[in-house]
Amino acid sequence: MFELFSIGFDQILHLDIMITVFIGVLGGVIAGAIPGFTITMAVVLALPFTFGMEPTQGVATIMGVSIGGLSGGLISAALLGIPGTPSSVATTFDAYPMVKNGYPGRALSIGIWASFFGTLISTVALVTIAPQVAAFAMKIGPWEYFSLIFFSLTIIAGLTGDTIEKGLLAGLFGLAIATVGIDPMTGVSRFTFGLYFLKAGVPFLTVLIGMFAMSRLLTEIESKTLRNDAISKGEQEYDSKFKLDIIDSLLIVLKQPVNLFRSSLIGTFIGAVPGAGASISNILAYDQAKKGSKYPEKFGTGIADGIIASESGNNSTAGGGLITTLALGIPGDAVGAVILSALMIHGVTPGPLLIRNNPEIIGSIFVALVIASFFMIIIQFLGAKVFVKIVNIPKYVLVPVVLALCIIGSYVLHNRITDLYILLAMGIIGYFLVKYKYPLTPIILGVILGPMAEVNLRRALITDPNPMLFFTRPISLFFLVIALASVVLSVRQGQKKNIGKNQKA
Amino acid sequence: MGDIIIAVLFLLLSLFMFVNSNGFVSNFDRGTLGAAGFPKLIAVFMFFLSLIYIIKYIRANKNFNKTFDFKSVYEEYKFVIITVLLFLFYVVTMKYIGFIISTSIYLLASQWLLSDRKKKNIPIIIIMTLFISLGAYYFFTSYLSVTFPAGIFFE
Repeated sequence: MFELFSIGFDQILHLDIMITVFIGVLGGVIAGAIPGFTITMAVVLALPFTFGMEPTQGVATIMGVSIGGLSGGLISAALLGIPGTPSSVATTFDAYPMVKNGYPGRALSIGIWASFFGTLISTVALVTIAPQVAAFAMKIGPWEYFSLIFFSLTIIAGLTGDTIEKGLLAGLFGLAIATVGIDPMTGVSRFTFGLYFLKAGVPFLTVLIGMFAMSRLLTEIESKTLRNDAISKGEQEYDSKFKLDIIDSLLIVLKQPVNLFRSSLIGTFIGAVPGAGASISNILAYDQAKKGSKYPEKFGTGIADGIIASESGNNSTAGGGLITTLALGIPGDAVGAVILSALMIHGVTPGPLLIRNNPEIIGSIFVALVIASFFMIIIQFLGAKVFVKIVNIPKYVLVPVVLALCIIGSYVLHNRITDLYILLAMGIIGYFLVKYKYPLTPIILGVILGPMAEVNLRRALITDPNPMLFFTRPISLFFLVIALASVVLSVRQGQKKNIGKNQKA
Repeated sequence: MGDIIIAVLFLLLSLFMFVNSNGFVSNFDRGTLGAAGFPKLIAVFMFFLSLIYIIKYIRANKNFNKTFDFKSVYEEYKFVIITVLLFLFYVVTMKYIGFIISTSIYLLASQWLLSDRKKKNIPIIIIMTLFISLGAYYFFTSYLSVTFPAGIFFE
């Protein structure tokens, strides 16, 4: 563990790498602060800029963007009461009232410190847990791997969808997209319709950019969204000449070690569960802090406890998500999927062998997390006042510019104009799916896990044609049983929701 | 209404996948799952899930005859439609007039059309247009040696 850290420091402590990580964090904070600009978008759009870098530098920069993004949402959440990203929804509950009570500087500072400690705690968890998970994964065969992926996809479908059917359909759609192109095992062309450019398959990043960036941007310019923006902008009122109280708020945060640790561990755990990302962990951490508090009635009135819970909860998701992404090659959420593809673009295959074969990559990811969180504090404390102004960037500038970046990013990947048509198609499909409450995360994970699932399934059946082995090998059975349990649970929850709805009506 | 359309599309997609998979034959995979197995598996699951969804939906909403008012739909989604059309225009023309010009036209046009008549910040629109089209061009061509379509004017 300490070896990994020392290797990592060796790799990262170079001026050029530090500069790009710094720029990454800065970009992430700005993107996180702009409502309508999500962390996933920031990470996806940052990726093309790292293509020319060495693997360690590229991955470290992406880590910077994601850490910056997770903490950037704080600014607009606290000062304007609008979550800059879905990950900072719970931050608005207490940070915004605190700002209204006349303490904007304190609200921001507490959030920044909580983000910082959340990242550090989850990094420690990552460093300790990831090698164990990888060691475990080395021992399992294709049966278990397939069942594990099956489990990941069902749990994602259950957690993210409006109903489980929609979640599962989305996951299957992702798997279907992944089958386009040349079959990895026999070389047969599948669903290419005689089109040459489809032989290479549908590029994963193009799907990701289309689904997560383009469709989001299209939603942002619906007349309804624009009207709501105009209303919430009218409400902005805070003293813009506030002072950040760095030391006092550090003490406030450190006086709540239980809250800090509980929220960070919740965040880490949620990050490691496939499908549940920072958008869930901040709310869950807030909720638990409220339940565990001696004065739950004060939550929502602008107390430090709520900000600490939400911000440490969402930032710690980063480390947790990396556990499964790095050790198993199974990303926890869309940001994890981007990091996974960033690794692959740089020629590194994530999975159980990564820690043994590329300790320098793993070490530098660990160190990058730590360094990025230090940069994050510096950038936030120095720049918070400036970033508030960026939040007001008009939609008519933001949307076209980010769309142009989407196009450039997709083109740069393979230098193919045909990819841009795929991008447009994915954007439109994603837009309609979101409109009708289909979750997008299962699609992305379907696309990325599809080939892995297929190869393992077929490998298992080539080794032994008996399909019952999936049910008789204990670990495989275990994953299948909890997969089934998660489906049953979601169906029942859905029924409860429906009954509730009918009663209200 | 859209709900049911999407579910029907998934149903059709599953049928198409299943039938189309029959063509994926190779000599290597006799006796195993083969190239067609996994797509067929996906298709079967997708078929039943979308069928379940359709049945549930029809049961829950027995009378769904919503009126479709083209004008109000256009009002609500006009910027989305404009953006998609401009995007298409951008991608189609990139090959002919080159990256820098098509990007500039796209950025100018969409920022112009998306903004309110009264509240246009023209300097910002122009600065962002030049910054992205030229900045991205020089960054990616010099730093990553990407070749963007040059277009007829620069060839």
